[in-house]
Amino acid sequence: MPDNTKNGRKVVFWPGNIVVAEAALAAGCNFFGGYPITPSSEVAHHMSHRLPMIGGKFIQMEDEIAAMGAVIGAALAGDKAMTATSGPGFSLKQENIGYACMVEAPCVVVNVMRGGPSTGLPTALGQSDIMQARWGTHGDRAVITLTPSYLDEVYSETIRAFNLAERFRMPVFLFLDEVIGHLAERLEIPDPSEYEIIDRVRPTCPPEDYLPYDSTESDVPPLADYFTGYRYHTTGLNHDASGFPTTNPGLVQSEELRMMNKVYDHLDEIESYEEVMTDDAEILVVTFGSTARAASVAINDARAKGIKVGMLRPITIWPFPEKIMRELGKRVKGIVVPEANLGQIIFEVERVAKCDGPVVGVQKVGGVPIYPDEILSKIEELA
Amino acid sequence: MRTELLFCGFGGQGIIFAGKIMGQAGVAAKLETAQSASYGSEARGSACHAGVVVSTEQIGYPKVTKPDILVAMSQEAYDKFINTVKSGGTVFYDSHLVNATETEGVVQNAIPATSLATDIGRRGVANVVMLSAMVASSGIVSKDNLQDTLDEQSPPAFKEINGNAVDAGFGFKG
Repeated sequence: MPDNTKNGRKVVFWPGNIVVAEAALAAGCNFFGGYPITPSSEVAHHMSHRLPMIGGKFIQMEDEIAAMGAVIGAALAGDKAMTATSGPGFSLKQENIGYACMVEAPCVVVNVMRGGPSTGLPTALGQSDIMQARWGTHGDRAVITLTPSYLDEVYSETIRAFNLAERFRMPVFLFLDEVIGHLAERLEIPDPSEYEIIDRVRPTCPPEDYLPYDSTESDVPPLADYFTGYRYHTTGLNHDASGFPTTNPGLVQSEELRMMNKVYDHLDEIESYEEVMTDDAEILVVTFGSTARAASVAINDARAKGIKVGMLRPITIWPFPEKIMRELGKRVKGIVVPEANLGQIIFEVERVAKCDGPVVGVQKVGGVPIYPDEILSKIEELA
Repeated sequence: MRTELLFCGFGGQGIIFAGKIMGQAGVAAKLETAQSASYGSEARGSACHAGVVVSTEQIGYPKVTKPDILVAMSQEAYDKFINTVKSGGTVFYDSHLVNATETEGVVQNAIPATSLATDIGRRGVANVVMLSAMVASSGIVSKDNLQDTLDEQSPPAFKEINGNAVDAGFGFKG
């Protein structure tokens, strides 16, 4: 698409899904394994066109399960790998997502959320996969999930998703919803000098000394690229530092804890959220993704009516920003939690905020976005 | 200053295209713009619409709820959306395709877009005629913004006919 420039930045008018694809390329993505599914298909379509231009690889697999497998393989071979899907595909990917967690494969999984369960509403908005991101694959593991609300944020958070995947050697989820995926907005593309690109730590030892899960130097072990002489075993079974299976209870416990703590000990590098007018807020709105944009209008309208309301908008929804949520929960007399589902993130808000006042949802499915007025009336009820 | 525009009609008329052009022309005019479209099983012949929000400030809610401007190119779409138009808002409808109903607080402009497009040799550019008449009347973007965007976004073979359609829309005085 044609561009004009402002302040040296390229100005574009792209839909959210294209922003994801272009930002992934800016982050160094050179492999996409996917299976197209509405409303995420434009990501795959754009990557199929763009990746070959830069010497990258695009492969359309036979289904979403295989696509996730291809992404893990590419990641372990040294690529910055991504897939994009929507609810039904995210369900199918869960088994291999667990595998990616276990073998600590850095990769990015995009989910452009639609209505569900099952085939649900293929072409319409939903935000009902947010707990699936946290708990979808079995077993205990840390999860990083990013939920941008604006297209400039989609760009920066896509880059951040790759950086976090590389930094912590794990799958990172980037969650859009249908509204953000298909919304075209004026967007200034940042110059590469404006953002950092992180690459995984690779081993410096000789191949014969390499242990793929050796955490003596760091809680994130260096990762060797396959086919470079570093031969090691990869398995979904609990394993020791060499990668071979183990049933040693102490070792299993310490390795699983390490994989949790490599995330939870570094929240300062991961957490991201926006606070809007929280300083004097008596009522707080907590929401994410496209719904936060309705909430931003609602809190301004409520302020105009003299209601002291603010908003906490987690950009990193997992790990949930517990510290700030606790602080704000103590200060406010009520919390409104709008989400395009029948009540998911509200449980996390209730659990963490421990607010003395009511915690009420604005919950809507059916594919139609929550309107600002619907949030405003709930704010007014609590005021 | 936030203005909400809704383009509606049926699939195949270039409704979504008109929305995209309006959004992109807004960018050319250095406005914040957000464009969304009905997205579903709409194919040729069924109802579809595209919403565009233009603003001098960052756009919060990106969807159209109460359009300031409605551009209607089918009776079905007109009937569906006419009562959503903001009080004081403006409607542009293709008089060849829509019988307007009196609506309080809304100014309605009949544009013979299909006839004008047929006169210049291609009925299919009625969407560009409608868009141009609306732009001429509202002044949200300039004629140059619109023309340049159309040139950028269309195949070269359409340059002349689109130019004629823009002139027809701007030249029409109801």
